[in-house]
Amino acid sequence: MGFFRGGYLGRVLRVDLSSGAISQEPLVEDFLRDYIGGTGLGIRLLYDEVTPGTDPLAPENPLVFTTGPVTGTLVPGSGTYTVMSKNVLTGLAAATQANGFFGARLKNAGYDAIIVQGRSEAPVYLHIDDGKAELVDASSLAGKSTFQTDAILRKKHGEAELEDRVSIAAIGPAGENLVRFACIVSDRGHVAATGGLGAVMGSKNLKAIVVHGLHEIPIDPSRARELFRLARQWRLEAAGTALGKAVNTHGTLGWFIPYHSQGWVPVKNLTTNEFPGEERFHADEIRGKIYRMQPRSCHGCTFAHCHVVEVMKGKYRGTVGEEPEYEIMAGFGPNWGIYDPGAVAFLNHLNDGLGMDAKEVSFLVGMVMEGVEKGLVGEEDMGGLVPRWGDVEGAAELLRRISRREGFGDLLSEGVMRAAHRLGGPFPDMAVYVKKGCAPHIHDPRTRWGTLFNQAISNMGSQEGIDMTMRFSPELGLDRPASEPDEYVGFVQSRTGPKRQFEECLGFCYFQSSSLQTMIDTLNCLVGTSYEKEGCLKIGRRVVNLLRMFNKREGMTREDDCFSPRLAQSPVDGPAAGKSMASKYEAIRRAYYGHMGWDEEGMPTGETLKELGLEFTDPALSR
Amino acid sequence: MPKRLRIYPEKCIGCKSCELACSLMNDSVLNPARSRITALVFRESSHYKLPYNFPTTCRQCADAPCLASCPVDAISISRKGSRVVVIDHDTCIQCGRCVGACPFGAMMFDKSKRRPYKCQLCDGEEPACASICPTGSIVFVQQRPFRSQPESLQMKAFALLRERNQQNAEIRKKTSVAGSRERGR
Repeated sequence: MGFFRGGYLGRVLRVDLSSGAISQEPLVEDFLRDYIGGTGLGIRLLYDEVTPGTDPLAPENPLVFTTGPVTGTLVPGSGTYTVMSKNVLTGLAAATQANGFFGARLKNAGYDAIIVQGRSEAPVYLHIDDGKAELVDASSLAGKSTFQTDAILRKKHGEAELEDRVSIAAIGPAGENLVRFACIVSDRGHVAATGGLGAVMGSKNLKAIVVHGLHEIPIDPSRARELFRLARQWRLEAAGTALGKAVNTHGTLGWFIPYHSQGWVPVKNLTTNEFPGEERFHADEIRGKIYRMQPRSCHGCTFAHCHVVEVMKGKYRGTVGEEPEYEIMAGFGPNWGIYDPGAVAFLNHLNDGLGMDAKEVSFLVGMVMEGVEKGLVGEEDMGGLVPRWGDVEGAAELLRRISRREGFGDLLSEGVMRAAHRLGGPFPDMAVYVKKGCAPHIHDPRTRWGTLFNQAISNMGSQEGIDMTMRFSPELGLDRPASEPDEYVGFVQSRTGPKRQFEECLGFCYFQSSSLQTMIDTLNCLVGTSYEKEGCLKIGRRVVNLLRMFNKREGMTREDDCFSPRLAQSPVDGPAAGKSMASKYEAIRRAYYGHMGWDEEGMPTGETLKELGLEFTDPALSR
Repeated sequence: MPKRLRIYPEKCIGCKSCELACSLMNDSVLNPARSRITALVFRESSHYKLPYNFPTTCRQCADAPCLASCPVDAISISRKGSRVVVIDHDTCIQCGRCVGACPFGAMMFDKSKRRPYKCQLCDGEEPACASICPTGSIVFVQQRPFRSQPESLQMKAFALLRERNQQNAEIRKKTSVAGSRERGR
């Protein structure tokens, strides 16, 4: 046996949809040593697979699914998988994670990663059963929602009525119709959202991936007890963090009221920060009175976090779906002038079924509703549909039209930034997006400095580091929160980015983070390596830098590390009124570039690349 | 009173950690299919709107049907400690009768080794499933010996009644369908 004694299966499945050829390759051990897995392994594979300038929706653009060494083990939240490809919204890199069980079952099916290339003539799905992979005709699944697809394939390949050891990642109608922000939904409601990778799957005519099997995840048998002890330690630490305790009691919905008191809940497309009936969004009210719920957690989770809910009150009584997370509660709720958590559950279930990224949808529909209020778009522009603030049915119909690319929906299906520029007039100033071309996570980030900066400089559209506006981390040398918009925000990002990206390489849910030392000890025990803290943070930096080099190769400039005019404004009311990062942004970004070892243009310097072993990305160095 | 595993399905969140913990501690492998405990997750269906999580394993019955079914007396109740139902693999002839005898589906069968296996409470240590369970759905506590007969017969009774009622319903269904057709004409 080579570099690793456990954790990896050491195999990649390569699927060429154009020819229908399926082959199996060993994983390059140097990649595993230097990038571990997950996002790191994904970007390393992607860097070699992508020809610069490829259209994200072209058959040549590869779609890479990866897992990490701890995926599928006793480590908490280890059902995670990462999907990477070129980002359909930005044309740069995209890396997105989904939790649930899919990652674990992909490894049980016998593979650490899947690389999908080409384009199938007719719709197909990929079925991997215990090491054997086949492409199956999926023409009967065309137009089906992600939930219907899941139900049909689960019935076909799993045990009746049981969620037993089969996982399905599928796209909905939005992905089939190449909506730019289509997502991949796995395990009924766990979403790999960012970057429009559902559209990449749709462009390849790949409707779904079904995984199941009985492969063991290899371990060193003599270390089984030690591994059990460390995994248990990890679990106890993860459940005991402030985040762990909060999410265990109230899910992410518990953040609603505290965030609102900081002015961080987006209201009416960020035009205000106040709304009536805040008490309706109290987690006790939602979980105790509006929803009836049953937990359905991810692989090895230590929290009672994800639930399936039935709405018990209001107009949408009887609706069943995944419990909306805080971001969706805010984005489909106050952000659209909707103050009924039952309606949000309905819209969330609809949107997951259609298969669209909630971030993009939130700020798109919010922008349209603001346009209607200001009289900028009317009935004739939108084919008879006029969604105003608080119009649930109007919003639902708009979502359906976007997913079908029908009429006005076709324009909106290009994403917030493109739609705003096509609509012209004041729309580009109203739209909420970051300059690379995608919508940010659903907060009012204007005074949440860490979130805003993190999103603006992120290389793959989703968040790259951890927000430290209210927290700090002695472990990373951050002894105070980044509560003011100053250069310290840039320093914080340069410390949290590598840490988070290291975690994304391992292949577990980032809510289940323990102390860095426990994570590293567990990894070493499982894989048989001897990583140390500094080395692991270096791997994180290597991943961030390789993502950046990938983007630079695609032509990203310094101007792309910024946000839209709406996000530069200061809130007009609420607790955060009058504050803004815009005037200090240039200085923060310069500080961040400096701490990362990048030049004024945000390009990693030769020394940085050499230190991280990334010489191959620079022709001048690799010669 | 001996310590046993006590399971509260209503507290289960469906994370399936118990399955992995079991296979890791007993067989030194990470494979849910090799577990002695099973965490079933029922999907939402047309009858029930919400899913349901149901972890289950051997109850160490005092009147164990597996023990009674064994033709070579390879299954016994250990007299020391927790009074666990144990298999003596040297005596076992791998006939598989015990697998069918268990009303709770707790007697597993290892296809590769061709022999039955079951939960033996981690041979006296704190069972792995109970120590990993995040919500207290599985706990290792003192409790009275479990007798399988009442529960097993209750399950049989429900199945029997359902079958009888269905037979009656079939008859009514046929007559009503025929009746409606006649009315249709």
